[in-house]
Amino acid sequence: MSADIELNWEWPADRVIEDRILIKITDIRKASSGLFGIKKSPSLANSLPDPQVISGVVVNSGSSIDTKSVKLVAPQLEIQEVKAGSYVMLGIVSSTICICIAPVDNKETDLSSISCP
Amino acid sequence: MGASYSVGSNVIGLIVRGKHNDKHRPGKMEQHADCILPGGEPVGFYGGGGDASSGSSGSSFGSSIESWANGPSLSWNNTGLNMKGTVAHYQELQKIRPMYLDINLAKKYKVKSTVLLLEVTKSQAELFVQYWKNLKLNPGAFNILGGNCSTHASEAFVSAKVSTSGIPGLDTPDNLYSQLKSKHTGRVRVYSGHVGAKYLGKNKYDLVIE
Repeated sequence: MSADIELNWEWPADRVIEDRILIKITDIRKASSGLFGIKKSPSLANSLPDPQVISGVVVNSGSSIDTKSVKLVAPQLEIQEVKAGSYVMLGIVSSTICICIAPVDNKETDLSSISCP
Repeated sequence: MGASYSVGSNVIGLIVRGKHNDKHRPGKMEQHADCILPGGEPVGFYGGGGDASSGSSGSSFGSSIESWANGPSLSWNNTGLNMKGTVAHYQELQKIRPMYLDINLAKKYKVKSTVLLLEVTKSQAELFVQYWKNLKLNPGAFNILGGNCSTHASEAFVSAKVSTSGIPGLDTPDNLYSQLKSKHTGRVRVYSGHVGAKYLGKNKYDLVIE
């Protein structure tokens, strides 16, 4: 199922995040491995170890993207503190690449105060 | 911490990701081939996002967060057929496969690999480097059958006159490993374990293995 905003995961590699968005997570589930398990192949640049599909909704952005649906596929080991119903800040570079996921206490949290990654 | 190995300017290599040791036979979807350039830099061929024929690299977004308001974003071809190919050097691997560089991440993600190193002449080393330079400029399509990471790794060894023919049987990293090891019996160094690469500056890298 597609979302209004679809993001890809990459590791930070010394990059500084350019955008911060707050989302409320609605669902986390194991990603499909595709026909014949092709999506698991480590030769695909965007294949990830133990990929999980995180679905959520943008909140408190103060812009027109509020309530937009978000989908991100990220490695299980990078989202261990995240669960459905919780709020997280996504650190974004190059518009579509998420390089960090930071749990936040509530939707009023000042995102600029969050260290990420 | 791991043991560090210097890779000389007359040494080239193959890394079979997912191959735990010399005898291990990883599944077809559990292995990937990268090469080691003279001086130690890892490099490999990957399937990127988008169709090779579309000209799209995946994203249809502009550069600002506001552009998301217009919705749907990425269109990835994950079929393994006719994907855009891409060559990833150390810098790109830091973003998409840091567990291939950082020994601690290799342990965290339980990625074990087997490395085969081979001494070559200066001319062969130069041909090997040139192959990867050319491929970077014109990577073409990635196809999981016959146009994958091991196909191009094999072409690099053929181009350097280390091999005389392509991979016997299916183009898999492990089949390439077996071919090279068999052809150069007694002349290769093999290491297995968690494998990383440490940048030393001036385009030199140590191979790190634990």
